[in-house]
Amino acid sequence: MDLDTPYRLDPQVSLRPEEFGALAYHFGNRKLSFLKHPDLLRVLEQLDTEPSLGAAPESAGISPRRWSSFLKALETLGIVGDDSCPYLRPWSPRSHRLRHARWWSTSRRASPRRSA
Amino acid sequence: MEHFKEGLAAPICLTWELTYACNLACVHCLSSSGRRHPRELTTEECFRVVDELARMQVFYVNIGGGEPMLRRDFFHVLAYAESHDVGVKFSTNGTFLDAAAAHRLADMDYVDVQVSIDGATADVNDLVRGEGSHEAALAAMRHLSEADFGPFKVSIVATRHNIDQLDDFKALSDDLGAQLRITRLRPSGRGVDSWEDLHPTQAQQRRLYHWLLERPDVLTGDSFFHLSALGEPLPGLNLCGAGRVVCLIDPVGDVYACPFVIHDEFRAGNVRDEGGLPGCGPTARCSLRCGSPAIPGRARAAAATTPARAGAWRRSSSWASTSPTRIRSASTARPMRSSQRSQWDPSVRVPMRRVRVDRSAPGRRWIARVRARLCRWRSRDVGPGEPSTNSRPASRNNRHV
Ligand SMILES: C[S@@+](CC[C@H](N)C(=O)[O-])C[C@H]1O[C@@H](n2cnc3c(N)ncnc32)[C@H](O)[C@@H]1O
Ligand code: SF4
Repeated sequence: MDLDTPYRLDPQVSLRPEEFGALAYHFGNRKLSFLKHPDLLRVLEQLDTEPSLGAAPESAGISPRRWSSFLKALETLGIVGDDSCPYLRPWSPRSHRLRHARWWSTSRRASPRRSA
Repeated sequence: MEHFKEGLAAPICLTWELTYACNLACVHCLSSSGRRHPRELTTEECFRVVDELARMQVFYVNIGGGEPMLRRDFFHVLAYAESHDVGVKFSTNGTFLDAAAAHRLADMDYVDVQVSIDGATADVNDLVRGEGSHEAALAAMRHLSEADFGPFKVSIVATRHNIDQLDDFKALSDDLGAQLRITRLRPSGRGVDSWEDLHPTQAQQRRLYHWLLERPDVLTGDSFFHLSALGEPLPGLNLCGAGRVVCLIDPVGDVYACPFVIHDEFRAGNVRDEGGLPGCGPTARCSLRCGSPAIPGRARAAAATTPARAGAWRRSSSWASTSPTRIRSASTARPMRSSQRSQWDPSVRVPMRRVRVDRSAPGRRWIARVRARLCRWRSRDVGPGEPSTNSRPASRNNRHV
């Protein structure tokens, strides 16, 4: 993953806050994952406004000591499951448009879309 | 897995029985389905339940019954759930899954389908599920694969009579591009009556265990954790999640901590109550404390099938916030599912398909007849006297009998 590019939570991923952190459910492959720290949830929730992945832990107020472990966790999330269903996707205005175009044109089998 | 023990903000695996009505009357039916209950949730109330599920962020709900497709508003409920980001996995006997329904389902993104059969051949299947049911289920599966639905599930309850057909089931589901899912027979509902005739023998359980170990692509859910004592645990949820991970909403809206121990003692409330579904959380949590994950094999199996006496109040946190005054102590609880006793309210209309339901089917005489048939089958096939793995269930929770 490229720390300098912005990443977004895949629109098919739903996060549910829990005492231990959060549950993340991917509607694409119906897989459930555990985020084992509440801070990780905070980082993910703020990701939408981050200019880059690398900046996310800092702006979520995570102490610099822990940045590397957070980035590692984010990186794992980026590749969790099969390649077609990662939790995080690199974001650019262009990729955003393209992705939407694909969702509307393909069937549930190829790429299930999340109705907004 | 650790987190499950501590409790969650909301259940993950929620079963929702949409109706008691069923066109079939399987001898093993754990929900004793047959007739619809007069006070089943209306369409509007179903929508409210979906709203609450969405608010609680329950990611998906397992819809069963009864035969859920018998409800005329079935597709409306599906569509409503989908548009509220609540995924649906539902189970059907396939009778009403025609080509049109299959196409409608194929168009839905967050709907997974499971078709139930209990025998690879009509004779074995129809013994349990009734005449013609094998053909109906196969037709439904063909419709799904012709509609290009994608991978659906074929669900089998392992019984003494179909365990020899495991390879046939696998071949069948592979042919259809489906996933095979095998569950354990549970002694609840009519499954209590047919238990002696249907439950797999010890030798069969052992065979099943090894068969499953060799085929990790066959789904089992939590269903075989009692076999883990034979060695390596099978993948799946290996603990009892009652009131923490799992939960059941029955057709009249009663909420139970566990879909397999449906007993008034473990009724946590009703979705029609003031607090709605979230309000049932803490009661569900405290009413059932069974199946410590550390109990191996047999005891664990017993814990999973026998209602444990209510134990400690786990924690005061709930699925959502609610006052603890709603918690009823187990000793004052009534002995049976209360939907058995509820009154007929003619003003409530649940839209149902009109089908001819064999009214006598869930009756005792009928069950006795099928049992006799099964007994003859057993003496022909397996030979009597093989000891069972599970002891006879301690609880009976029949309804509609
Ligand atoms: C109660 S049915 C409801 C949905 C639908 N009518 C059907 O048959 O699929 C849900 C599932 O439970 C299974 N089942 C029924 N009785 C059972 C029992 N005693 N133990 C375990 N599973 C059972 C059925 O085979 C079916 O796959
Ligand atoms: S298991 Fe059989 S009787 Fe029970 S609900 Fe399903 S189809 Fe109906």
